Amino acid sequence: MAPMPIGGLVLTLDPDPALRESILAALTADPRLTLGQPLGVRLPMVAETLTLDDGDALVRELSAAPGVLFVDVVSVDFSDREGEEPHGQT
Amino acid sequence: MDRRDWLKASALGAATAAATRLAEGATDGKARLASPHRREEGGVVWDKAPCRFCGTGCHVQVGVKDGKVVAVQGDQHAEVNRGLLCVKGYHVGLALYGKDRLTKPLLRKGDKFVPISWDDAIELIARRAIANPAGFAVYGSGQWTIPEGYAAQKLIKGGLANNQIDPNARLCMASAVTGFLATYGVDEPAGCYDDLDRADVVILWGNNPAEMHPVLFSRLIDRRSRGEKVVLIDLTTRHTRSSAFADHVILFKPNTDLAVANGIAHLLLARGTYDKSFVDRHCSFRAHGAEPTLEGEAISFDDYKARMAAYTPEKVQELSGVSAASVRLLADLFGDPALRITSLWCMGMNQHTRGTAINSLVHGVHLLSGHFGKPGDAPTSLTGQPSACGTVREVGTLAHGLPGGLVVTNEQHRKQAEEIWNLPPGRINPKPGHHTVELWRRFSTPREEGGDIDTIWVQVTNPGQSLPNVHALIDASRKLSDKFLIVSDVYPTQTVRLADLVLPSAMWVEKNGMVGNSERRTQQWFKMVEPPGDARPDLWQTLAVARKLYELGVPGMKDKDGKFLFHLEREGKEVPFWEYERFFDVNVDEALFEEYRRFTRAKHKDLAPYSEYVKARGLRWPVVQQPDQTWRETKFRFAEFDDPYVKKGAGIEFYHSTTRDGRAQVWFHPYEPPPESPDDEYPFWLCTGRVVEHWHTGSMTMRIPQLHRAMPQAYVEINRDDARRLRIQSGDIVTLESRRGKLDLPAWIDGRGSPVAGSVFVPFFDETLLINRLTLEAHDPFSKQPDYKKCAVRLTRRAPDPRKAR
Repeated sequence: MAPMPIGGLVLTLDPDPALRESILAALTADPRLTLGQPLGVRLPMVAETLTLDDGDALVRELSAAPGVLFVDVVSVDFSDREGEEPHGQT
Repeated sequence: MDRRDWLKASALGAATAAATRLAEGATDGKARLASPHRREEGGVVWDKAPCRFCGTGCHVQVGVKDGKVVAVQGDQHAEVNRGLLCVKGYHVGLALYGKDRLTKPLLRKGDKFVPISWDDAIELIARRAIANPAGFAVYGSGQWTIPEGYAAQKLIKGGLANNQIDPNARLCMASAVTGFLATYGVDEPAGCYDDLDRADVVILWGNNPAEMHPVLFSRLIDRRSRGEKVVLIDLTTRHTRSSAFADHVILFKPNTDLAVANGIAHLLLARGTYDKSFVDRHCSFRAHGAEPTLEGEAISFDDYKARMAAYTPEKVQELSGVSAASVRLLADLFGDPALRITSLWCMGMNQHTRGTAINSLVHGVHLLSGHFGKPGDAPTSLTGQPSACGTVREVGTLAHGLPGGLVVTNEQHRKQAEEIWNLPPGRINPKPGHHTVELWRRFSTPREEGGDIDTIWVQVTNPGQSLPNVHALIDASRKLSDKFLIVSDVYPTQTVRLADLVLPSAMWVEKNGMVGNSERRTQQWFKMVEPPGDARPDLWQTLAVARKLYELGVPGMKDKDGKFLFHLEREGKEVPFWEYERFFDVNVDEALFEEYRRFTRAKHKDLAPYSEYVKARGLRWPVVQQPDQTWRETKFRFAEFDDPYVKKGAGIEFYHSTTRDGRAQVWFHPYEPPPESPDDEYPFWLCTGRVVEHWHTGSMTMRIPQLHRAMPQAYVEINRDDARRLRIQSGDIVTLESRRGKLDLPAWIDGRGSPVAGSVFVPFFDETLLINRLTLEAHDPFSKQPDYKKCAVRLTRRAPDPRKAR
C-alpha cells in the first residue's frame, strides 16, 4: 500500500437506533475507515486517506452525514505524506 | 506487525481512549500526574507540549522522527482537551515547516535585505539601545513564553529602566485585566474550565467559541449528547457558528451590551431577585466620580439601585434592539438561585472603547445575583493567545506592570522587585511606559514633534498587520530615517517586510518553553527538534543583547553587586549562556522561572517549582505546597471549599479587595454611544475578527496547506437584505472604505457568519487584504485597548465575481 496519512477519529453518533444502524453500516463499508469498538454513542476509528487534504474532506463528509452528531480528530500522523509541500503565505 | 499497522493501532488506541473519556465526561484526575516523560514507539519519540496556537491550552503529544515533527496526538492525560484537538491543533506540527522560514539575520540595505552575522546583529541592537536608552522599546506578545517575557521585562524595567515594553495582548485582553482589577482588586478569572462541565446556563457575551475556542465549545456542547441539559445563550451582533448551537440568539446593536447588562441588573433589583445575602456579605458598590479612575468612588446600594432604575426592559430595547422579553429572560435566569450560570467572553467585550465598563458590569451581574463561587457559577474571560495570561498578565509585561501582579507606580512593589532582582534601590522607574497605541504613535511621529521612541524590537508578533489604523501607527514610521524597527520572527510577515533588522527565531518545540492559559494553568515543554538554519530562540536573543550591553559598560546591566543582571552560576562558575553554543548547557528557562516564582506569592498567584510542571499537564495557580510536601492547584479562587487563601468560615473572600474588607466591587456604568457610529457618509458598522482555520494574523496557519486551502483569503460578510439593496452577490468585489483607508474584498452572503442589517464583518488573518487599514485606534480609557469591533464604513460594488466573468 502506498504511504498515506493516518488519523484517529471519534464520532459521536445519534442515539436514535435506526439512524445509528444505518450510519454504522455505511461506515463499515467505507474502505478508508477501520472501526473500533463503540462506547455508547462514541465510535473510535482510524481513517486512511491519500493526502491530508483528503483527510480534511473526509472529516467534513463524516460531519455532514446523517446520524453523526460530531467528529473529533484526536491524532494525525503525516510522517508518510508525499507531494504536499508546505508553502508561504504570499 | 509492520510500521503501518503499528501506526494504525496507535491511532485507534488514541481514539478509543478519547472515546472512553468522552463517554465518561471527564479525565481521571490522577492522569494529570501520570508520567509525561519521553517515550519511543515505532521509531517515533513522543513528548508533551501545549498547542502553539490559542489560549485554550490544549496539550498535544508531539511525535518526532529523524529530527522532524511527524505526528501530533491530542494528549489523553490533559484535563483541558481530554485527547481532542481542533482543526488548527491537529495541524500544529506543520506550522514549523513552511518553506519560507527565516534562517539568517537580515539587515536592510536600501530596498533589499542582506544577511549579517548574529554577532553583528546583536551588537547593532545594543548600539541602538546605548545611543538612546530612553527611546528603546520592546514590543512583545502573549505568544512569548513565560521565560522570554520575563527576560525582556527584566531587561527593560530592571536594566534600561525606561519601562518601554508592551505586548500585543494590549490589543486582545487588557480590558479583561482592568475589569478584574476594578471588581476584585486582582487579575484573572476565579473559575476555570470545570465550570463548563457544571453550568446549567452558558451565556456568550459577544463571543464565538465554536470558531475561536473550539475544543472548549465541544466540551460544552458534548454534554448534550450525554443527555445533560445545558442552555446556551448567544448575545451577539452577528450570527456565527456558535449561534447555530444556541437555545436563544439575542442580537444587539454594537456597543449596547452595557445597556443589556444594566437591564439585567435593573430587573434583579426591581423584582427583588438579587441575592441579598451574598450582596450584604461580599459586595460594595462603585461608580465614577468627577474624575474617572479605575478605583472609582463608593456609592450606596440605594444609589446604585437608583442609577440602574433607568434601564427598564423597554429602555434597553430602545437602546440595544434587544427585545424587552429577552431582557426579562436573562433576568429570569440570573434571578433563579437554583441554576448555575457561566458567562464567557473574549474580544467582543475586550476590544471595546467601554471594555473596562462592560467587563465590570458582567462581573456585577454575577455578583448581584450570587452566581459566583460555585462550580458552574462564574464570569470567565477567555484569551486568544497561548500565554496572554501567563506571560502578559502574570509576568507583567504590560508597560505599567512588574512580575506577579505588581506595578511600577507602587513604591513598595518597586522595592520588592529590586530586592528579588538584587538591584540598587531606586533603579526601577516609577513612570509607566507607553501603552501599545501610544508606543507606535510615538514611533511613527518625528522626534521633534514628540516622537520619543526611535527603536522598537518586535518579538513573537506581527503589528504590521494587527495594529489598528496600521497605516498611521506603523507604516508612517518607515518614512522617518531615524526610526529603527527590529523584528524577531519565524516567517516573513507583514512586519518583517517593514523591518530594518530581521532576526530568525526558533518556535514552539524548537525551544524550551512555558505558557499560561485562560484558566490560570501554567504549562511546560522541552525542546524536541532543532530550529532551521541560524534561527535561535527569542530568549537567547534577549539575553545576548543584555550581555552585549553589559560588556559595553551599560550600568543598568549590573546588579547592585556589579554582577550581570542575568548572572547564572552552576557549581560556583558563571554559565556563559549568551554564547549560543553554551545556551543549552543549563536549562535557562528553569533558572528564570525559579527567580520569577518568587514574585508570584505577593498577589497569591503562587507557582510551584519548575519540576512540578515537568510532571504535569499544567497546574492552575495558586499552587500551594501541602503538609505532605505535594503541590496542590486551585480550581476555584475566592471560594473557601477550594482556595487555601480564604479564611475559614468566610465562605467567599475577595482577599485582594480594593476596599480591603474582603468585598468585591459592583459597578454602575451608564450606556454611552461609541466614538464613531454609522452616518449618511459611512452607513455601515464594520466588525473584525477571526475564523476557525486561521490563528490571528495567519503567519503560521496560512503556511499550512490544508488550512490555507480551506480558507485561502479574507472576505466581507454582508447581510442579505443589504446585499440585495446594493445589488451585491457572493463573490462580487466590493470596496469597503472608512475614514482611514479602503480595501477591495470579495463579498460573502449567508456564508460563515451572517451580520445583521447595517453591519459587515471582515476577518483579519489575511496579510494581502489588510483590514486594519480601516479600523479605529480609539481605545478604552483605562485598559488602553483599541476597539476593532466597531467603526463606520461605506460599501460599494466594484466588480462582479471574477470567477463568473471567466
